[in-house]
Amino acid sequence: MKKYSKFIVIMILALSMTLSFTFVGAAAETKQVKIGMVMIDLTNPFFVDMMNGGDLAEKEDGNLEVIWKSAEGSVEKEISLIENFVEQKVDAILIDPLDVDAVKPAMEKAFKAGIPLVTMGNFVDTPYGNISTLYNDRIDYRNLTRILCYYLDSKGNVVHIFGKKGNFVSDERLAGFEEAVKEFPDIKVLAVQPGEWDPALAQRIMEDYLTAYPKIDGLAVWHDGIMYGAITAIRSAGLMDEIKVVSYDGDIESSKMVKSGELVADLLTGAKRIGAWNVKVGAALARGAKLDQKVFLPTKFVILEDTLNKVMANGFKEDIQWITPDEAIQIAGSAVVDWTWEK
Amino acid sequence: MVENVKSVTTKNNKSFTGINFLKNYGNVLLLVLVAIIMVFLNPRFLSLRNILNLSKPIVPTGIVALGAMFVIMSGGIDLSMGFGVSLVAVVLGIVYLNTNSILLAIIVSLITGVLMGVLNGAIITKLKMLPFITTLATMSIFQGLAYLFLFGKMAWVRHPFTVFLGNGNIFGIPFPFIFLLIIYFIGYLILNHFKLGVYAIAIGNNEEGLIFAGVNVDKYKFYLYVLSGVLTSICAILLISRLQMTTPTIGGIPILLDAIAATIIGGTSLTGGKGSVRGTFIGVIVIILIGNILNLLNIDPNYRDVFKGMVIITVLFFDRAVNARQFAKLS
Repeated sequence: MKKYSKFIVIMILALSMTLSFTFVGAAAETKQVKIGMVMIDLTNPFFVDMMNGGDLAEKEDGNLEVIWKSAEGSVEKEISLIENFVEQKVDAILIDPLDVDAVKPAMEKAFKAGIPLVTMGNFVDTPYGNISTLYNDRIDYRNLTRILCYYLDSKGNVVHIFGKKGNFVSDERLAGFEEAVKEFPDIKVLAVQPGEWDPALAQRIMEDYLTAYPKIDGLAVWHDGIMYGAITAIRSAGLMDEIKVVSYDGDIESSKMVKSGELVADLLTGAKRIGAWNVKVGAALARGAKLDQKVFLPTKFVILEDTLNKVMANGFKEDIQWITPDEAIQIAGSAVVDWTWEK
Repeated sequence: MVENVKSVTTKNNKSFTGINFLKNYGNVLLLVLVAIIMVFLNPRFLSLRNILNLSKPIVPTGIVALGAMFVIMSGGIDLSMGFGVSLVAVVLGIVYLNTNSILLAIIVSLITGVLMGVLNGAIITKLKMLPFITTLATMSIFQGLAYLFLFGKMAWVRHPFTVFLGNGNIFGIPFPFIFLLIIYFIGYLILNHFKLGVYAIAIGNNEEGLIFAGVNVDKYKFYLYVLSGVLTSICAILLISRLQMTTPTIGGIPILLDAIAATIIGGTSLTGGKGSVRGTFIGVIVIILIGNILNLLNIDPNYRDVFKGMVIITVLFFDRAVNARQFAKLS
């Protein structure tokens, strides 16, 4: 009995150690974390969809708490929210900076408190170890504009409605547009105006363009939310067949318009996907992930195969990831993001 | 009584002098000047197609400006109109999405406009709060409600009736513009032939005198804010009809500022007692054309706001200078 009792004790010890490692490992795998999201605002439909997508990712994770706060367009409030999250000792802070320089002191406080930082949609170079989640706006918009120009057989008059000077995303897309049109000597840019995030303003701008210019062949809009206003102006003027339009962000409605031919192409970022993706990145950082300084969201062009074949026949040679409108509609309505991190 | 009030408000404008001409037609001269600049910048400006195109953005601003005119000439102000448009737009979208009935959506939208006006009017007349503070507060309420109700989303409003309302044509003339002319005609009748309009000017001129004369000034003030609310809701319905969609970002500060600027350029006095439907209509056209010119020149929108502000200050200065000169002449 004595020799067996020793064996039993050893077995019990071994089993205990195995079980304890298992529990520790499991705890590390699903560590409960809390992340703070500082948004420019939570009224624009895009940002609201981001939040909805982020909430889906939170639910899917199961061990994550996401706190969403709106800066309501105020830099002072944004700084205050970051500082509040530092006080609350959250496990990661994600910021959509209104002004990349103004938020740096608040980011420094988070850094000193050991809280990982993410600047969403903006590349912010600081010594605070922040990750920038980015979209390939400049490259993607350059390709989107190329698609438009090749669709127009590399000649014609185009107009552009961008967002707002100083907004990083808008500036990148505008830069992409300007770089692309330079490649087409027979494409003339008639006008470039800021439509911000207001579809009624975009409608008025497009009406002004239609008044001022006798012939417009193409329109590039920076964001789906305002594209609908511009399209309404074109439709009212009876020029849907004459003016070809491209837009950006891949809303469900815009994908339907690509399918019906009202849009030549769109670029799926997907507000819900962006929200879910940022939350996943934040959660990964909160759990100790080591990520590159720049993390890019996979984006896809929404385009009909026939359209793609046409522009390729006209000279478009870029290697792009593309999907059909039906696929885009499915993805845009969900928060599915093909991104993971190596543990 | 109405006729006596009218004669008091108009008797000083009858004699034809240079000053009176500038006072009464200065906004027309400004419009002519702006039009000349437009022709210079864009030779196609005077073509029929362009005039018809320009007639569309005039409509929403024009309707809000008419409401602003009535309130301002009575010595008040309604800062809630811009976000009132947002709120009504959202209400229309929600009702339409949930009932698929455009008639019900429009009726509920109009009722919302009335309620907004009732709220403003009641606070100002019953609680004796300053119009500026009251409508500043209700502006914030309407903005918040607009975002809360739709929660930042977009809603599509596509119905044959609203498509026609916003984008239809009758004999080639955009229907919204015809609708605007009808609204302005009604506004003209109210201002010149109904107690509400005549008392609006009289209240702005001499509120105490009217009270001593036994007029229920609070009642008419209340109705003016209700009228402003109704016009706000009509603007929202037309805006949505034009866009065929609604978001809480529709309306807001830009349309409010344009409307107030238009009424001032049109000759409505910020201190009350003066204004005209014709002047407001001209003021709306001037504001829209200024925006159009700046678009054509690809000018940064921030400079647009600076420029508009300068135009308003110039008009106010001019108006004050002419009034001072006229007063000196009479005395």
